[in-house]
Order: sequence, then structure tokens, then C-alpha cells
Amino acid sequence: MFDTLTQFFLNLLLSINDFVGNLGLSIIFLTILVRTVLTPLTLPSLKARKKIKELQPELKKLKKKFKGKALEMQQAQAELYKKYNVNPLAGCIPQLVQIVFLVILYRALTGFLTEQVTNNINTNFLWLNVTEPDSKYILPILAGLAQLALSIMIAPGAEVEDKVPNKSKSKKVQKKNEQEEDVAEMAASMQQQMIYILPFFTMIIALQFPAGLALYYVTTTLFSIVQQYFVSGWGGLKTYYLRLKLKFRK
Amino acid sequence: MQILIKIYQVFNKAKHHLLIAFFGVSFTCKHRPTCSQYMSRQIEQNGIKGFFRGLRRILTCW
Repeated sequence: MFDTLTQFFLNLLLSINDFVGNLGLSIIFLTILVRTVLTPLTLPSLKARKKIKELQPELKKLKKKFKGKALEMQQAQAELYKKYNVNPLAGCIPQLVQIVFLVILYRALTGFLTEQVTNNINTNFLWLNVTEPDSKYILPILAGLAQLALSIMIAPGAEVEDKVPNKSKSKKVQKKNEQEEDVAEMAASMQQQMIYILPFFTMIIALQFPAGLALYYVTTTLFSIVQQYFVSGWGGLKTYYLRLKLKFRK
Repeated sequence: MQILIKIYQVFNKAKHHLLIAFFGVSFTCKHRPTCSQYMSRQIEQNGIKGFFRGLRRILTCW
């Protein structure tokens, strides 16, 4: 199953290449093709996310009302979503499917960029040789920047972690809850920093990989940015832009 | 196992952003407490039995 799918994408890439005649362009076409096919699946979820963001004030009210009553809170939340016709497509299993898909694509691309396959094909694209890491560092930097822009756009996420209500009578449990909160807080601040750390990592990783992979990454991220823009505007990017503008005025 | 879950939770945001970059969308856990929190607590309290309970929980997370 796994290998069949990998092989499928490899063949797809090869046939696109027969058609286009350039490896770099083929990779870009594949990216756009894959993302276009996926769009009907991703768009409803993106819209739901936007709606949830808009409902945040209402949710906060509910949280206040049902403080410490997790079950009732969940019910009220479900009702609210139902009322506004929000269907938060969610779950750990779809996530797993995504990750598996990612691995398959990765394997297809790395398989594609080996010598046996690209033997008789021209591997040059613009300034790049797609089978080798980018020697001019342009693509990795682009990948990092695109990732940063996207991360900022989606920064104020709809998923705010609930804190564990600290109401237990026994001191021991209370202390334990406090510890848990500490860990949660640390995790939260680390997650905030992820916005800046992740693009940096992206850049370093893109430096090591064949340029073709980095090319795929840049294209798919740009596609995401455009998609995100059409669904919910510039998001956090606007705030950052205004902040920068203010700073320069001073 | 506990350490693995903690690592997963810390890198959760990174994974989230990465998936959005690749697919334009990332699905988040629908349960509260989340599957990973539940799993972590179950293992703490019930050991190996808790692990399977956590797995069962993940399977319901569509």
C-alpha cells in the first residue's frame, strides 16, 4: 500500500516531466496539482476555523459561565457550534493520515531525485540543480521566510488550551495540579516561540536536502499562504505590519 | 513513554504549522482533555492498561 502510493506519485512526477520537460517545473506542477485536488477537503475546515475564531468572545462567555464544569462546557460549546452551523473537522486520525501522506510524498520526491531516475533528464532549473542542495542559499531562505509569514498569519490560533481547574481539597492533588499548570505554561511559551524557531529549522533543513524538495516546500507554503489569505485575510501579518510601521515612525 | 508524550505536546504547535504549510489545514484533537493529556494521565494511573485505554480514545478521535 505504502510503496504503491509512493510509486504512484513517482510515476505522476515522471509523466508530468515528460510533458513539461523540466524537473523543477514538474515539481512545481505536482505541488499545485496535489494542492488543487486537496482544496475541496481543506476549504471547509479552513472556513470552520475562521468561524470559530469569530465565535471566540461567545466561547469566553460560556467558559466563564461553566467554570469548572467541563462536561457542561463541552455540551454548551457543541450547541453553540451547531447554532452557527460550524462543523469543526477535527481529530487525531485525520492528522495521522496527513503525516502518512507527507512521508509518502517525501519518499516519492527523494526517489525521484536520485540518479537512476534522473539519468537522462536535465536537472537544471533557474540557478539550481534540483538534485543537489541549493549552493546559493536562496531557496532555503525563501522557505524560511514563507514559513514565517504563514506562521504569523495563523498565529492567534483558535485552539486555546484550557487550564486544569485547581479546586481539589487535598493538598497533594493541589500541588500536583500546580505542577501540571507550570508544565502547561512552559509548553505554551515554548509554543509561542515555535513561530520563530520553526522557520529557522525549516531553513537549516532545506539547506541539507536536494533543492527539489525545498522547491516543493516553498511552492506548497506559498499555496497555503494564498489559500489562507482568501479565506481569512492577512490575519496576524497585518498586526505585525502595523507594529513595524509604528516603530519606524518613532 | 511519558517523555515521548511531553515531547509531542511541546512540538505540537510546530507540527500544526508544518501541516498547515503542507496542506493548508491542520486538524486538531477534538477531545478535552486532549488525547495526549488523557493518555499521559491514564498511563500514570493504570500503567499498561491505561496505555490501551489511551489508544482506544485516539481511535475515537475523528
